[in-house]
Amino acid sequence: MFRALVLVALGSLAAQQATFRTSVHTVVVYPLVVGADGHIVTNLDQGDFTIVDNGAPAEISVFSTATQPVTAALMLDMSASMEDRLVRVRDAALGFVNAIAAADRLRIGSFGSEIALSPMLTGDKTILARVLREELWPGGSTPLWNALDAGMRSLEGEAGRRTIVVVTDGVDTSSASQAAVATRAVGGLFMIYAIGLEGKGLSPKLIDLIGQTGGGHFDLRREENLSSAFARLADELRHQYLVGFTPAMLDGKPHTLEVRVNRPGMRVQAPRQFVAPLVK
Amino acid sequence: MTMRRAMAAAALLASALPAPSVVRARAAIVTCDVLVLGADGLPVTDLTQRDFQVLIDGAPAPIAQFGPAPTGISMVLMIDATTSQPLKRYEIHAAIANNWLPSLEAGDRARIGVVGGEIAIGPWLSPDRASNVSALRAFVERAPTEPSPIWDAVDRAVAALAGTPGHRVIVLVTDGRSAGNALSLEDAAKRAVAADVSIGVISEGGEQLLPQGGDPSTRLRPAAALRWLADATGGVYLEDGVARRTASPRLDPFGYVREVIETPSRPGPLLSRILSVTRQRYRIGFNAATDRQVHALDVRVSRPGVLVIAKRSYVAG
Repeated sequence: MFRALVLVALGSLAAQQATFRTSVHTVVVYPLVVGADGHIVTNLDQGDFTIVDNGAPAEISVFSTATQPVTAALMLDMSASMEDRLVRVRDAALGFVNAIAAADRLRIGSFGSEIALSPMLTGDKTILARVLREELWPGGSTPLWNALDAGMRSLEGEAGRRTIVVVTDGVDTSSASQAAVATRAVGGLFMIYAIGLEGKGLSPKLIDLIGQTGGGHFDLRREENLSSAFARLADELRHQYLVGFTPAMLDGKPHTLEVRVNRPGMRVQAPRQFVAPLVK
Repeated sequence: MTMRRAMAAAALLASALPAPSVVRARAAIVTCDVLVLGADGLPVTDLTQRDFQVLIDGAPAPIAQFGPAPTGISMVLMIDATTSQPLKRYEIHAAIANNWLPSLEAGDRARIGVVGGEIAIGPWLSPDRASNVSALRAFVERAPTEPSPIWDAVDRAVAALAGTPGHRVIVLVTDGRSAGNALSLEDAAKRAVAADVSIGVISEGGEQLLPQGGDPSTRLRPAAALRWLADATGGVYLEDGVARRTASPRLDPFGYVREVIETPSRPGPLLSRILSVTRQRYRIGFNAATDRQVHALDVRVSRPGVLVIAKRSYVAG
């Protein structure tokens, strides 16, 4: 079901974070800006951004460069083909857990013969490490899209920036409906990130969905370091801007979205669609 | 059981409980049911009080009570019905209907629970075996790709046994591939010991050796956690024949199939056996300070070559 991500109020965040108050009609997105040299650009201000809603410019009502807390489901592929990567994935994920900030919250999940999500959405690194050490069991097929769906559903009640991070070595082998998963991702303004391990690579459909949600993906070759990919991912999540606007039409329908930066040579990673709030 | 292991278990359990600000050290009789198995795996039933020694926190404690434990059992049979569990549904049904239910005796109280995305524990079974079998078929269904929150399920079963008479026991039939838990294995054990519930396990056992590219291979031993859980709570740990997953499907695509064919699952006789040996325990009582603290407990038997199964810690008061 379509549901626009509407922040009633982000409330008081950690000390280094600003407090925002937005109307129920405000749509908030978290663009990342990358320079021509591949480095993340962090020194832009509100005047550098333009929001285009269904082809028409929209006024930016909320803007921040402060680090936003991460609320994420980390979904680890534990299908049979991941058996020889178990330790590598677990250790890299432990490194990611150790690097999260105090206000961040993670939920660990895995997919293979079972799709399992920890009920604990927490920043407690002891709990997260315990889940990684106790609850990863490789085997079975690759229900990648079902796992994405399960991860999103587990975060549906959460406010703020909601992110799904998936680590996988291949393409889906057993999910039901990819279209429904994509609908949930776009409608809920979830950001999807994927780290593709050496293997068949990430599927074009998944890469397209990642682009639609404003997330990112990393395709690793065997010699490349998984921990480095996690570090880059964490870096991206820490350096996204917060941009809020009120759509011209509060019609409850999908809108195209374009986030532009008024500086040459920069690439913006942001959602390309959203569902406007409905006001009758 | 070594004293070091007992002390470690007690320390582990102690870490879960809030430290009382005032310790009221009154004394009370604490009881512990003890199963002694001979080298043949059968219960040893001719021991006397003089054959036993009890150590609390490493110090000998006099035995104040001794005798056979009451045979009545309050039990929750928790079945892992998730996808990773290698038991077929018909095997589970047959084991329960043909072995477990007939092994229940008058005075026993029993419920059946299912581990899955939704943890479910059925009502207390009626004396009517036919209706129990009928209800079982609908209850124990395998749910595809659901998680296996085994430790949370154990805790739910512990709660379901609260206040029940007789020996409180959970029998867990699972592969041990636990996932999606709010509780850790240690937390589940702590709560079971605090509620005086022992956890028996029927496990597929075995291990998987997983090559890790150019790195050292790793071993998966889901049964290790189950054995630890049974040991910590005084439960019986049994393995269902030969492990089915020793062969790596990637190294030998047909090895797994061969193993399954050659080692048919026999959970039924093991369920009967757990019930049988659970009734052949000794009950030992000893004086202990009711200080609400966790204490290491080590029950020893002087007869050589026997296996002593008893909880490794207790909370007095």
